[in-house]
Amino acid sequence: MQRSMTRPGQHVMKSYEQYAEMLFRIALVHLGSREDAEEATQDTFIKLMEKAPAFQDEEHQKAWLIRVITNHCKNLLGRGWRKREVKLEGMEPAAAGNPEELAVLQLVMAMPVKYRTVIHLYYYEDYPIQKISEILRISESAVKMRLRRGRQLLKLELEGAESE
Amino acid sequence: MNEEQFRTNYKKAVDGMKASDEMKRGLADKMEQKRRPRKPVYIAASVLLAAGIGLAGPSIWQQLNGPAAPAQVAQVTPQSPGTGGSAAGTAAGVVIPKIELPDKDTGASADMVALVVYKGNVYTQAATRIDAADAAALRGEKLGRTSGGIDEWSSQEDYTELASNIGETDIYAVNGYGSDFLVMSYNEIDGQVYADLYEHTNGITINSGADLFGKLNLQGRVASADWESFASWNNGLQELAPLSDSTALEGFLTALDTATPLAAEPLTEQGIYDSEDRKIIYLQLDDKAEVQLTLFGQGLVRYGNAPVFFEVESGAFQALWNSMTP
Repeated sequence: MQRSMTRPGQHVMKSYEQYAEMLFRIALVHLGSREDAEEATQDTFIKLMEKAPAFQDEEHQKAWLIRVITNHCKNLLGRGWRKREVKLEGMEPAAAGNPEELAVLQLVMAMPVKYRTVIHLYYYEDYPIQKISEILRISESAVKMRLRRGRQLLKLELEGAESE
Repeated sequence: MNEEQFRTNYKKAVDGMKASDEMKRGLADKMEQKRRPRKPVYIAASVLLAAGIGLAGPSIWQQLNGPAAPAQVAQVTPQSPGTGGSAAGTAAGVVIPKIELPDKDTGASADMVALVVYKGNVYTQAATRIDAADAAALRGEKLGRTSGGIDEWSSQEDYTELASNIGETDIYAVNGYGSDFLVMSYNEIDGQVYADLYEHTNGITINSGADLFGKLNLQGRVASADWESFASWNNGLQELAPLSDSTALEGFLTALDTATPLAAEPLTEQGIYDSEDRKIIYLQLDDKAEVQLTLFGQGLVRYGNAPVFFEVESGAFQALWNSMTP
């Protein structure tokens, strides 16, 4: 078990240093707004402080954080057909130098939310299907389907050995 | 584009996304605030809204749950029909406008949910779900095959018959449900079934709960029911418990049909989602479909993302709510 820090919140800041950027990117891919993504990331660490779950190891904590921020983003998006006044706010500058990079980002952002999560975890975090299934608590079959549909939407030509 | 090119470009693009220093400072501030004991803060949005639209009368609604839950930071006041919003109330009920894409010229975009266009209407990912194993039994006549082609930047003209943002897949009617309400995408690949439900809950007027829940035909069809606390749902714990009081559930389902619809936008603006005073119920129907409803402590119910809440008769609501205790 982890979490035996002397000062309340200390373990949260340690986790923040380790996972904040990863969670921010997941939130940004979901929400498309830097401001919203930063707030969602903060809220996730507040939950970590308040719930203070006991983790078996680092991977367990990482998976918990990904699941919590993913659900938090879905909760925000589920409030309605939320309009974003600034499309991909905070994302263009990073990829602006390379049109191909910006293009793939825009393609991912154009996908329905449920495909975005799986695509991001698979292609960015390099998680295998089984692990994504555990993290998101959906069946491996559902992960495979979302990957398949995602690739179809991205019009990807698969190369070599397929990991499914 | 091949897979490896995509992976490389996507990683480079995402690598460039960096959080600001303010995010860390903001977190430290929030943590400090959380450590301090505080009283619940009530937002006077309902007063502002009432003033803004010239309402002088008292609220039609009362808090059902007495003192606010510790995590509650806002209270909301359902408005009588006529308060506007994207789903606007009228004397005849709540009008949910047809889904239309934002004007591209304004630079606005919208969050994409999975959707299919059928008979000129947009069907969005349903709040009712089915397991792949049960999908075949529910599959009705084939309605067509989607063409894909819709994305975040599509215009209204792109919403042609059977266009979708879920790629190319077969669309079927769903046995026991009207295809003007529910359709199913269904594929068998390498012996494995992939199926999702899509529902048409826009471009309609809702006068009572029956106009939505009647399409699901819930009464007398619930084979089993579970509930989940907000904390469990919010943290992805899936700690479901059986809904053991069948009398309370039956009374609630009966009351759902006569529930009063309320436009969602005023309620969300007033902060209904800022409260954690919520419970989720999962109704397994006799055809294996699972309907998910969110109950709000103020006596309201929401089905999926349809922009409408339902105010349920308080006795029936409270009986079910009180039966859901850890």
